[in-house]
Amino acid sequence: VAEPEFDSGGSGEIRRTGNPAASELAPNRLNPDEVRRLYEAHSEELRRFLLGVCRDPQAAADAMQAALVKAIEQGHTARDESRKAWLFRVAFHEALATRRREATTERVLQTAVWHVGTEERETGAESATRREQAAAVRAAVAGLPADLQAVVRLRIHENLTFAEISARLAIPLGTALTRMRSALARLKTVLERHKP
Amino acid sequence: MNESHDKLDLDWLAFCYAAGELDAEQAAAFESRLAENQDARERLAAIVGMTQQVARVPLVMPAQPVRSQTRQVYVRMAWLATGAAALLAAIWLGRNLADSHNDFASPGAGEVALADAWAESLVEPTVLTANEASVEPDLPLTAATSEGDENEVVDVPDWMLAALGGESSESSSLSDEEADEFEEMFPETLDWNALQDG
Repeated sequence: VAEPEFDSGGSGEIRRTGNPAASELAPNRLNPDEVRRLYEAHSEELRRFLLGVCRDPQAAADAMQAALVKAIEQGHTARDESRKAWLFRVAFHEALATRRREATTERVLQTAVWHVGTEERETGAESATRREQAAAVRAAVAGLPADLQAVVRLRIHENLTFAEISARLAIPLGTALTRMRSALARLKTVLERHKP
Repeated sequence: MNESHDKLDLDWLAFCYAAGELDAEQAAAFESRLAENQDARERLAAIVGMTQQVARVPLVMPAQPVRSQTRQVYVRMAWLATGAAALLAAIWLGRNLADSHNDFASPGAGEVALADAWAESLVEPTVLTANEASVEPDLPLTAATSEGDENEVVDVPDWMLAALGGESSESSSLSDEEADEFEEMFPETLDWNALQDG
């Protein structure tokens, strides 16, 4: 029996493919509407989580698809209130399996997760909300002290490691780490106020 | 350690994990946490989302470089001005030192004149008055100071008489009136008549 497949791309639609007879094997499975609601409610957060684990967009997409299949097949075993946690846990294990399968570990260890969103940055249509968030982020970063901004720029935009930042700025490694940590804490505080 | 601090630590740990900054052991430990802790998973998703937001926004940092460049310009200008001032001070000081050295080496015009006058005073023949001449030891014309008779004839050396005679022969000799006036002026010194006769 072929495994069902879901298109969990940018459209947000879940399209089941494969053998429809598979759903008939477990009548207690979640129905497609329940799976769709689950996906719509958590897909963005789940995608970021999987990206953090895989650090590779293709591996994250593969893990997402596998997790949704599991949700269809076994989602009924989770209680409603913990379904999200269940989905994330299943997705995490799928991500680890995908990472091992695709042997991306060595590669992703040297890649920052935020450098995988280039395509989204180039093709995504910016809504008013996104523009507002971008303005908030820009203001939040601009509000950082110069020394923190420098570390943020080097770590996130130029993808230097902290050791490289330390050497570039001629500061101790601990100072670079402290500045980045402080910058993240400040950014988080500011951006949470602009959460939609 | 309160809950907020734990969340901060969890955010930082999640960031380091996503950034690939954890070593294998630390990453494995964090993944064990992810396997069981939904809060850790959500924190990882949140930190990835926030970092992506920051990465999407072009980070324009004009303030720091401009300030840095401006400061560098100011610093260079300050050094340049300081160097110029030091150079001017050195030139001024050098000139002053040279002038003071020349003051010691070559006296001024007034001092030269004073020195010349002093030198001339040393070589200029002293005009002796009759009284001053009377104290001249080499000359026997000391009749005025002698205690002898006013009419005593002065013993004049021959060479002086010869000189006077030559002069008188070449130039105009004293007339009688002039001789009388001279005798009135210097009655005690010379017997002009005897001189002329001699």
